[in-house]
Amino acid sequence: MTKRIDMKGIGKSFFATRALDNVDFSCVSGEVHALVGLNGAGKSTLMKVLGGVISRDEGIIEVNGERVEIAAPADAGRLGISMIHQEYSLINELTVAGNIFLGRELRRNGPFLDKSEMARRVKQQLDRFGLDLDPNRPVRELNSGEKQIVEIIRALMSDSWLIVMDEPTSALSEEDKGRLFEFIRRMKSEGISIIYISHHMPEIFGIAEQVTVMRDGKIVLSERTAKTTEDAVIKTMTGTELDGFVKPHKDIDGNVTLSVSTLTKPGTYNDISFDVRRGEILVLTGLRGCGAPEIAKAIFGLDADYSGTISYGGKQLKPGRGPAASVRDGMGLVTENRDKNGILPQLSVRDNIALPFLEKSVRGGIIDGKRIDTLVNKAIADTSTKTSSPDQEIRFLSGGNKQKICFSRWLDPDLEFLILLEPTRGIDVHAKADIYRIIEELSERGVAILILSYEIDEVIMLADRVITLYQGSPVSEYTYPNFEKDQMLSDMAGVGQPH
Amino acid sequence: MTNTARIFREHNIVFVTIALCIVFYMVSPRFLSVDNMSAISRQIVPIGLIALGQFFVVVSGNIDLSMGMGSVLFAIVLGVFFGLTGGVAVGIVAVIVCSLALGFFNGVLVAKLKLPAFIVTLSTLFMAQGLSGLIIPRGQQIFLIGDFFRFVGAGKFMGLYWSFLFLIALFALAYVVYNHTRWGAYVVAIGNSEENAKLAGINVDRVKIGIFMFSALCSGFAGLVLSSRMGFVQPGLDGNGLLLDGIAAIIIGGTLILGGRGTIGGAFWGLLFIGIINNALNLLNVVDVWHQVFKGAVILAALAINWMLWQSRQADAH
Repeated sequence: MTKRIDMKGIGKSFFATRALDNVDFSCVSGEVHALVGLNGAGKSTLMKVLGGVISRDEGIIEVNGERVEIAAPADAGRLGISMIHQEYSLINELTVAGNIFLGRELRRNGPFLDKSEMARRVKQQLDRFGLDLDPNRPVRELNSGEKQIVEIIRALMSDSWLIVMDEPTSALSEEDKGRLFEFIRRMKSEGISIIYISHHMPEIFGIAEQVTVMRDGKIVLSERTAKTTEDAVIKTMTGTELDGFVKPHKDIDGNVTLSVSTLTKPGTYNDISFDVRRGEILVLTGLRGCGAPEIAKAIFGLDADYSGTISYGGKQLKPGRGPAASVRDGMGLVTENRDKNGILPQLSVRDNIALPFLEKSVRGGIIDGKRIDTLVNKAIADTSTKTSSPDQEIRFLSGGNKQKICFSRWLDPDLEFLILLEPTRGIDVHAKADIYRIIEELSERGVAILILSYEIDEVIMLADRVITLYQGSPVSEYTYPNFEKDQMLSDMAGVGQPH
Repeated sequence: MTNTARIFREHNIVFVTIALCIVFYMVSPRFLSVDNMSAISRQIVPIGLIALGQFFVVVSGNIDLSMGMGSVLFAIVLGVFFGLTGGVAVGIVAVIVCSLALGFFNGVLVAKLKLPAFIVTLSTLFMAQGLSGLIIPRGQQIFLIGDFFRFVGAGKFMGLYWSFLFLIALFALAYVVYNHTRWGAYVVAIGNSEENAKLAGINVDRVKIGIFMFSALCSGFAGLVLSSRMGFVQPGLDGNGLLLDGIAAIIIGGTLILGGRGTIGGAFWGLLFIGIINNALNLLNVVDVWHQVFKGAVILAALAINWMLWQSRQADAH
């Protein structure tokens, strides 16, 4: 077996952090090589080095035994390496064939596009892989699975022989997943190599020949899938950095604040039931696509399309009652996408914090500026937000500080229940510590908190109770202090679920 | 969805326009007379030229507000060069050169300096307006007399105005360019996602500059046709009214104001729609102020329908 691509001794540092440390990684013809690891383990850094998005500090890359330089994404493309990202790079209003040939169209009689020839060649490729898709359909009419196929075909038709797929199944239905796996098998038989980044053990053990596990920038396991087990992979994924951390003991015996019973939305989540008590922190966890954000949306009144019941303070909530009603009753929500759904980027820090308090700070129709200033200054101090002044525009703050401001909106004494979606996504270690502290303080004050987090260490650090989900169904429940990290990861990754 | 419903949804402007014709015919049978149809065909030519140029700009996700006052300026350029030399060809070459220069200026500012097209072309709109008044003081005019202007303004071939035939030919050409050349696909791609278009290896800046040069050239032609029909040029022409009619025509014809989507056929029907309303309201002696109000209401209704259809298609796709 000759290695078609061979990365040797790759190293990369970002300031003081060693993101990649002497990493060896290779691919052979016609095989799927699964790359796994927790968030921050170095998978995407390694793939960015391969794709020419970032430069490496050390190491060499060989293609078919020849040393190559990949300094820009165009170099990777020229060598035959294509990346399929989770966000598609297609043009909705062009056809399938139009997208595949975009930028290198076929022409005849001078300037005129040879549409039939382009469609014919695309059809030929689709047939070769047993795919049923009309090359003349506009891409806007396709579902996520079909769009992914178009992306892959585009890569194959530009002579790529190595396809990197980053969590390719996260947005796919069961049917589309089946079709994707069949497509991958056909690609393998045609000699295409695939690097498959995923956390789903059944997928990895279903289609990959080789599995490599990364942790803290290093390769910790690289083995034929036939010679290892799902459990062994999970064990090597987890680090030991949190051993010895003890969460303070808390008595949780308050009233039930929120109660969810047999909540079901077909294809998204199934039969979800749980209670959250005063002062309790309940964490829902799983892989992306596990359904937890959708559950949170139903609770906050943003979705009416579910069956089952949600009770809050003893009263059953009307489906889809809207966020205004939820906030009035003392609920709060911090979204996972603060730049899109959290902040008002053009406004100052002050105005962003004050927004939910305006209604309560009006005297005779006039906003009480002094009261607002007091509230704002207190919120900035309480959350240790770093800003040059309250009048600073929020868009100039770091991600961590923006997130703290999203939190500070809900430091309202009337708050009883708070939903946090990925509370520390994309923010630095120091801001994380501040945010964990705020969450603990809110919980001590008696606020019931529901968190969605994909980061196992964060789950264990914050939770009083954990529910793991796999593809929308509850797998297991853990209560403090009996958190078994390996078991939890196995549950999240679908270990033991059918391939 | 049934096929009939789909046809109605995608070609609703055709049905709406035909319905409007029937209503106007019932109010005034003279509306459908050969003379009146012929008048409409001539009236829509300048608007059609603006609509055509604007179409590519809007599909690419931009806007060119300078097209209307640009036409007025280019008409004056024509008048001055014709007046000074007496040569028609000199005047036309001057119009082409000046319009391409303005388009290049707009395009470079938008593509290279990344300035919003709205701001850039609003600025050049004012410049064009100012320059027009500078070249010919308000209240004065230059007459355009000669066979060529009579031919452009009123010449007919088999009962149809030459200018209308020219417009049809230009729409046909635009149809081919939009649907069957790389350039057309790139305009759509840029309007959908500039980032993705760049990733596919398209020279986005060059396409954008080309789009603005084409729209300015169209406004040059519009100035030529408009002034030939009137027989004189002067700075007081309502260039912005022309611009707004052109924008209304393509939006009514289903072009998405956000960019990325539109059809040449739709733009043409939108043009007929605007032309018919302008003509019928004159024909029915609607008082000018009410004329504008009514026109606004009809455009709003047509746009609301289009927007809702677009939304419902979005919903279908999910």
